[in-house]
Amino acid sequence: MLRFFDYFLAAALLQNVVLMTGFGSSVLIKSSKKRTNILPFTTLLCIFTTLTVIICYPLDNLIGTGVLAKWLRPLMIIAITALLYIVAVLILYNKFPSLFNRIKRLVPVAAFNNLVIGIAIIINHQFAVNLPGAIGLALGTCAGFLMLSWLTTEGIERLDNPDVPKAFRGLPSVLLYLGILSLALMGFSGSVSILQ
Amino acid sequence: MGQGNNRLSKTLNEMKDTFFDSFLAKNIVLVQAIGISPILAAGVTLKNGVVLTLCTAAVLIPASLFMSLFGDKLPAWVRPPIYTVGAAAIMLGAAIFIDRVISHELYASLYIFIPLTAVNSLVSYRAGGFSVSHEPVIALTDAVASSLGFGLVICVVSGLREIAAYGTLWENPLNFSVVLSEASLPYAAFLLLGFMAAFLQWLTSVIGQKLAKN
Repeated sequence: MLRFFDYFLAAALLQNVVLMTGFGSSVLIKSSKKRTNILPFTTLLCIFTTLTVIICYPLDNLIGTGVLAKWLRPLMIIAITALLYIVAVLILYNKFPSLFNRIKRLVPVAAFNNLVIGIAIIINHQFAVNLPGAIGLALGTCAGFLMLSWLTTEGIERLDNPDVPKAFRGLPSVLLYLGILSLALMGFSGSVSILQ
Repeated sequence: MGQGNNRLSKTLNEMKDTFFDSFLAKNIVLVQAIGISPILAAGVTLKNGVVLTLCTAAVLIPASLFMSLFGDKLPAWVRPPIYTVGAAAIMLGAAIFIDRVISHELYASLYIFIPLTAVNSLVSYRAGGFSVSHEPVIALTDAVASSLGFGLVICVVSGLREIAAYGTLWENPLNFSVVLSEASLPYAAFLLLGFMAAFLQWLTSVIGQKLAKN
């Protein structure tokens, strides 16, 4: 259980996955443009990330560590995410049709992105971590994504300002803002990452 | 005959506009903020940049063509798993090819990032979005231009980071006395991308003003 909290806190606070690895940076910038999207998008992201990690964890042990397993592992993870996506759409469509209509554009983006697949690959490839630790890392990653989304939305709103030189307005200033946040976080937590 | 010529010239113009937009004017990375993750995470050497550009093209071109031909016949919610699993299968082939034919070291350094190309937002936004509503020839043009636009950015960022972090370019030593190893961290790529996006914004604004005067 200690592992769960270790990885949760590390991923959520100290070593934000988006800023330390770059995973999910495009979806972060897209989802942060609209404040009302942040919570539903991160909830979906959290469901897909955590379930993918939970399902892949025992399968990863089953397929072993041979060359063929190494080649096939990413395809297995993506196929599992695809199955989870289909199940999620069917449940939402049949049981919660009005909710599905509101969030149907967010579901595929939340399922198929670098963050969901990247975390599952990292856990299986690089970590000698137990299942609670893996779940902690997945949940912590999503908590970190949520916090960074809010920070990015605030940044986008404040940087939409006539004082910003014209060439830097919009995306350039957002990228520089994220770069400075990443640099600050690295200064805070050190350059030795649990995620690299 | 005249109608045929008009249609051909309209298609050629559309191809030209699509290519110019996706490659430069509305560059997929620097304007549309798509496909940033691999640049931040793996764009640390020029070799990585070139390999990831080729992987992106290998996924995006067939996925865009497929979605342009059959995308509108499929329900919208079914499309993402189809092109993503298809892209992952292509990346499996690419991984085996790189590991066995090119270099095992290169494969080991890109082990995580080659399969991630299949879920790159570039594929979902261009193949899953743009291509479905466009003719195959336009979708193909967009896929080639998007791959080249992505390639241009990742190669510039990777090359600069390799020079700064390791003092080499394409693994050839440049004999610099100062090496900034932190340049391989994601913050350096964020900052470089920010300045490159600002430069492109300035350039398009200057060109736009000159064209408006003429």
